[in-house]
Amino acid sequence: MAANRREDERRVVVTGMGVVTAIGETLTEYRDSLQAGRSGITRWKQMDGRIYSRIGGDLSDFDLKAHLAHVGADYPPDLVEQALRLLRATPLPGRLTAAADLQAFLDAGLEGAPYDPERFGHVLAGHNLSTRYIYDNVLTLQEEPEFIDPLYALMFLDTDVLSVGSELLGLKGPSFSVGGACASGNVALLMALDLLRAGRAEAVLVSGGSVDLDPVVLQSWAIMDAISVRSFNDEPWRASRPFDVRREGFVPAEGAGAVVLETLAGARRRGARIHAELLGGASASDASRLPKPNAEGQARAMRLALQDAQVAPEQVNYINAHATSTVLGDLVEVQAIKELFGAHARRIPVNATKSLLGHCLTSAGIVELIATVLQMEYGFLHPTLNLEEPEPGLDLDFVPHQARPYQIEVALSNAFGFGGLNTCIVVGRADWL
Amino acid sequence: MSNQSHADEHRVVVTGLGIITPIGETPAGFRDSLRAGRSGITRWKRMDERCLSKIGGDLSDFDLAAHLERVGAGYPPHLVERAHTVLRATPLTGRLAAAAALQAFVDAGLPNAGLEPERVAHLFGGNNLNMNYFVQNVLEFNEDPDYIDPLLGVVLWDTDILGKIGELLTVKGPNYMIGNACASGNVALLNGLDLLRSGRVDAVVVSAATQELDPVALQGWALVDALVWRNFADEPQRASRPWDVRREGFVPGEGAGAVILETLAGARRRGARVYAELLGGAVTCDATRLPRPVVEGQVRVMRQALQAAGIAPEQVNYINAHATSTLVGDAVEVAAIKEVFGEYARRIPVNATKSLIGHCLTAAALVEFVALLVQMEYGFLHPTLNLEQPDEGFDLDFVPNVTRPYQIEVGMSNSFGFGGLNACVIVARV
Repeated sequence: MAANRREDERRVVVTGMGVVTAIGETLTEYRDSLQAGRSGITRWKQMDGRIYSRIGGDLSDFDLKAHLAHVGADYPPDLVEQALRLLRATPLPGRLTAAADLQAFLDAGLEGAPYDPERFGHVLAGHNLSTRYIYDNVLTLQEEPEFIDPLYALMFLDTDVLSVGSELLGLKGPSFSVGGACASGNVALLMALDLLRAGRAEAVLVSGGSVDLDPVVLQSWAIMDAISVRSFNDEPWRASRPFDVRREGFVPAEGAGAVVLETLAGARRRGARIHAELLGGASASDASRLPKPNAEGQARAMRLALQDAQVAPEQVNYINAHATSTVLGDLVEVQAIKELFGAHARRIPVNATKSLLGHCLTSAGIVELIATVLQMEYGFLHPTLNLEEPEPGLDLDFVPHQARPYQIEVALSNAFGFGGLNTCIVVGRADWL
Repeated sequence: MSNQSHADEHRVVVTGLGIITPIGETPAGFRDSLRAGRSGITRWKRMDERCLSKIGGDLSDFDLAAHLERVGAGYPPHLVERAHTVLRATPLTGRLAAAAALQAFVDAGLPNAGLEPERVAHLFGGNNLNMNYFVQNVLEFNEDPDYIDPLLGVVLWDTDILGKIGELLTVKGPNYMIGNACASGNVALLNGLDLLRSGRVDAVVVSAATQELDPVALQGWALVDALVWRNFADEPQRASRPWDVRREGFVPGEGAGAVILETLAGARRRGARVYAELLGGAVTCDATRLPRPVVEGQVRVMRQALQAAGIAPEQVNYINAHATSTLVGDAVEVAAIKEVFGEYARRIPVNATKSLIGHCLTAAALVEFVALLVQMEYGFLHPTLNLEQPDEGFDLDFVPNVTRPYQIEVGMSNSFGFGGLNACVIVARV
């Protein structure tokens, strides 16, 4: 059991979670899919046919009304109504993220506002979210300059996704978005952690903003060889294959997640159910602009995170890897893990949620934190899919093929963004509290 | 003026400045233009003709090499060379931000300070930056999907700017973007303050640069009458007129700013020159998605900022207003200032940097923070241009039209972003 020497006002816990992904739009569905090893990757449903990219986690047909009807039987009717009104004309990222925000808020038992709204902050992990919406309007400008969506000037901004969530839930504390490429989710968690520890807020909603994938961005990633476009277009569920010898690039996915963080003291005061403790975390950069991963930087981020969490490496018994299914990325992450943990590395199960979900980009850190917490709460490890033949030298316990019963005590969740942005979050079981 | 409630390890100071605007690309040049009341607004040099917006602060022809030639005599040659390499295929925003960050870094004496790179952080204030670049590529894509810029996949994401500045300045600590629309810069400054106080780092580079203005966004803002387009197209310099009865909307401006933050203890240890102390500030949200400024929200953020800074209202002797030259925005801010400062409000000079350089959007707060520091350092207040006839009820001292000598002791800088995002910082002379 880890001894956390911070006092209760400085300890941070997760009291609410919400997800809207291709493998589940409630915590229960998400957990069941993780346990069953279900993939959310399909052919694109409505994408420009001229591009090389054919597959991904596609939520382009997300229907908010249907979603709320499906999951919201117990939702307060006035919140449902407000959500429908507020999000009616809103691009996809706002709709997905706000739906996840609402789910997390209610999961935390926060309706009836037991907190002063001015002490309730909101940090959005996300940037360049609405490129599809911008893409559509650029083409409109070409044809008919007077017919740009009147709300365009407001809704193309990433901060609109922040603002709709805050308006829906009445959050008036410190609010901003953060950008860290694929590490955005973890960066947002770190900022929220620091806000709570500094006493600037009593609760913080951390939203993982979903991207809305557009053909130009996808084409650009294909041209760079960053995404899988060659071998698995006819069997999309096989394309995301971290650590496997046939991996050829990440599989982009839409998907949103949100968590509510509070201080342990605050959560206890209001009798909140606690999912897990956010013990700490850190970020460290490579001082390099190229999208080339660096083992030293990754190991440093993990080491600093453990220091911040006041946890020794031997206490870690699970790692939720960044593992995007790229040739270099997966290799370097394994090197970094071995560098930090030494002999202990082989005893730590390391799975890759992206093998099921694909790469949720700016919201990856959040949806993968939720996957970590669910595994921790329900005593299992989800499989790493498609690990048919691990690359030689990648010899950790990747939990291949099948879920297994397991009790996570202390977890690391890694996220390493393009441009050398390395982050790591440390999570501990709530049962100690 | 000192903040007695924090030890020197927790007091945060500004040790370097960088600025790039149409009216100055160094603190000295910027100072001279501010003092002279020079406007940076012109007709757009190269904007889609069909766009209703015709005027703004235009840096589209910014030439990084020429800039470095002009201002970089004292820069370490290896950094100049690295700037050329690292920023080669970079859209405007990244080049402006990196140039400003480098300027501040050198100004602070950091190349030779021996700080550990792992203890240096970089926070970039902004969101939705490489828009024009994306717009151009959408059009290319439409013609032929194979002809998009080969580097688009890396460059499109705003975080490309982080990688480049990080490599240029060898930043190995935390490195991320903080987006809060027009309030971004102030939030980034406050996050930098928190980062220093947390002990995670020894220095923070805070930078920001406007998105490269694209015709789609400009058209969008024109269609909702947020930016001025009906009048003043032939007299661009008169268009940005905060508090004036003829104001019609903001004038977009390109610009970049950067500062270096360190603890007072750290700055003293290495004998750094200290511009001012960042006492503190606040960030709040109105919980409204529509761009409707709210008096209560602005009052709250200013009050919380004063509290966080440990400053009483009567100690403030200057306000750099958000003041964008919109009908509602300017009015709400005046009402909020009066509510916070009461009787004392009329004795505080309140000017609007946007009247000179327009609205630098996500970079506005940081650019105006530099304007505040420059005025504080050189003992003057720049004029609020075009204040020919203040609108009804606007009776504060707006420093209309004429520069004046003045010593700012404690300054407040406001920024209120679209979507109810408010941030306010307080700075004191050291």
